[in-house]
Amino acid sequence: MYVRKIPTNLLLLRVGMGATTFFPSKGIESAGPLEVLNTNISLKVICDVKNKDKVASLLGKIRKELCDVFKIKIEEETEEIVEGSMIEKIKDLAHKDTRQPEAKRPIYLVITEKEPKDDPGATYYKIKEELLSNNILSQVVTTDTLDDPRKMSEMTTFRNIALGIFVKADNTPWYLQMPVTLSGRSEETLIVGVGITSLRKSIFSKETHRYVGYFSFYNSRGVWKRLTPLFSSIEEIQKKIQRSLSEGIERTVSKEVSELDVIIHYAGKEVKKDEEEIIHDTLVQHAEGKGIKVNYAIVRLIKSPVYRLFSNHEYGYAPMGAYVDFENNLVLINTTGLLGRNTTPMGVNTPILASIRKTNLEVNPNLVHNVVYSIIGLARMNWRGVSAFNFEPATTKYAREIAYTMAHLGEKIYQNESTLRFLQDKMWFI
Amino acid sequence: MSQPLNFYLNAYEIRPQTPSNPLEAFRIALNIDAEIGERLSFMLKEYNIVFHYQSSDYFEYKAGYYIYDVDKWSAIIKSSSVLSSLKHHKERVEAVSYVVRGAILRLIENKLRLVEGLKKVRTSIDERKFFFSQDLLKDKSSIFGYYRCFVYRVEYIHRPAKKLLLLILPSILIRGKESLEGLIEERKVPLELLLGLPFKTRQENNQDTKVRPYVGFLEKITGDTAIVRPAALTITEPISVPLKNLYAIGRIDLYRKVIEFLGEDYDLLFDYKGELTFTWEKGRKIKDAPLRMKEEVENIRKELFAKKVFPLQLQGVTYTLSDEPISPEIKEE
Repeated sequence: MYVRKIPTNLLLLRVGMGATTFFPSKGIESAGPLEVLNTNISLKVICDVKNKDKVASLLGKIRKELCDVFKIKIEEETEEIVEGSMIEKIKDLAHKDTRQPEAKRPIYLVITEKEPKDDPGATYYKIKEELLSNNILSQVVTTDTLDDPRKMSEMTTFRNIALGIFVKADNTPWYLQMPVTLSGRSEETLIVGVGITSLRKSIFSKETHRYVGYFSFYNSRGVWKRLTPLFSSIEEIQKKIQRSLSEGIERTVSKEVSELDVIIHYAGKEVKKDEEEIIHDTLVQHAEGKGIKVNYAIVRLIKSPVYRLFSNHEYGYAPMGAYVDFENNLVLINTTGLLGRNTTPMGVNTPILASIRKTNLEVNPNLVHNVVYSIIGLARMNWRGVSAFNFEPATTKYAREIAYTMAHLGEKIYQNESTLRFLQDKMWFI
Repeated sequence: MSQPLNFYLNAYEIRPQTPSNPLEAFRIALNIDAEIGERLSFMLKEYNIVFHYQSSDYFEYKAGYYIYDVDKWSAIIKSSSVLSSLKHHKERVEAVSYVVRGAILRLIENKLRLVEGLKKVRTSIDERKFFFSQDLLKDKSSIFGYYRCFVYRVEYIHRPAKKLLLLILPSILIRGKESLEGLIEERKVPLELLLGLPFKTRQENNQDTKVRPYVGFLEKITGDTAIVRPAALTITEPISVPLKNLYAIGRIDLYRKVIEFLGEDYDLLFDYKGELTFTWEKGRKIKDAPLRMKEEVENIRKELFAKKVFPLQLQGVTYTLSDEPISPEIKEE
């Protein structure tokens, strides 16, 4: 057991004008975002009549952030005030918007009441279901934000909302200055997030009925490339995992590559031992089929370990990037903590415990270092907010949201090629 | 000149006084019939047997149930033809080894259960959670109780030297004090403030331990029954639960309107939660949060583990607990 640290310069992010930063918010403010593909967007704001007055101030600030910081313009903005059912109104509006070509459809900015996201019946998922099945993206803001004077006085609140809209419009705010690698010699690296949620027959039984899940693919700079949804019966799960993974690799990796690194992250106990075997077999088959070399590591992330890591820093924080290698394929990683003079925004940071479950490479300090960097790097690539402190990597961060939204959409998406493609190509879950 | 950086874990070393003394254990392999496995688990629990469950081969140890209460177990299985028919492998286990973790976890639990004012709240295979029964909020809230609590776990590390670690993670436990029935009938909380909120099932005299508590979102109420949607992806239809068995969960922000309706001080509850979770105080971030948590870890070690748990006895081996937290060595780039 020993402590090592990812060198601080590896924590740098690349923003616009070739500049680098440790702090995304400051970085994009001074140098702009990394890449703007869509400079003009349409926005459709939907809110309940009782929140009408509060929305004006919110919109003004979001508009300013989009224009001044993210360098995009709102080409067209419409406001819809809802007096009855929000879902019915959205259904109606979405139906009308489908008459426009997909690229011209507005991004919906929906203001709703705050609800717990672990409620599968929450309005949030119903809104997402309605809009996604019409190939429309949305950004949801809850009224507790509008009602909280502290949040409404903080620039970060509006910058985060603007970031969500910016990213959904296919733009890139920042990426990792130093690419992720596993073997150190491959031409490309793919970081894959896997979430497989079992649908139980009831909360009283352990018996799994069906599965819903995803494979989410990121390139070596931590930029999201695509997502393959997964619905399956118990009987078909092997086949479906194989198909989702190989399809994703096929469509994400360039044709010319002769050696590929694949790092797979999954959280908790979502992937079982035999499913790990299927992933292994799929990678072996892919390598054989393509006549290439594939190096891989399957890594399980434990998000609530009992461990905490302290240091003798004046307030006790251990630096971001510090990790404890237990030398038995287990690593405790400080994905947040002390960065320069800044620290985790609230409280004692929780480290992530990573378990290297399977790899076809030798587990040595270099491999551990590369796996750790993939986790910290992808935590820095969480585009939901501009904070420098994200505990969880983007690969596993949205597992619940994706699973719950997909459960709402249901397996009918397989019958609708256009929606399926939309779910695969757009960052709807951020 | 700034001092060199040192790291600490929220962990202390569990040391055997004579590390060379081995332990004796019966090992029952895992390739047994599911029904017999269930019977075995039941008996181990029923007789409070000190054992470790090892799910796979690890280092030199094979997977299986490692039973350290050798004499007690030998007597128990005499009366059970099913259990006595199981192959019991006699193993010699190092006092500091991977397969002794579960045994020490259970020995600690046995001692903590005897401590007045301490209650067990959760068990998983590898860790235990206890709370101090004094409500820190006292009469400041009628819905919630705040209790100091901690999780502990026993871990093993192999390098640079074999060590057993006791991990201690302090926190608070927030429990609903008033049932949904009480909120509606006695406190007259309007239904519209309660609909959509999460509530956890709890039966004070729950004999059926197989039905685990679960959280559901309140959908509607009919008579003295609530209809809740489970907070999990299942295909279950909403479930009916008696109002008296449902309690608020610890996410106080969701109950703000209810707290305010009852005329209680939401900000006070919110601030106190921040303080006890080492997160914020008076609306501001706690700057030295890790130092405060480290101090609380040390307090729990001193007050409880050093005074009331250690030294621990397992067969002929006495285990003690270190005074200083584990400080892993730094390897430079």
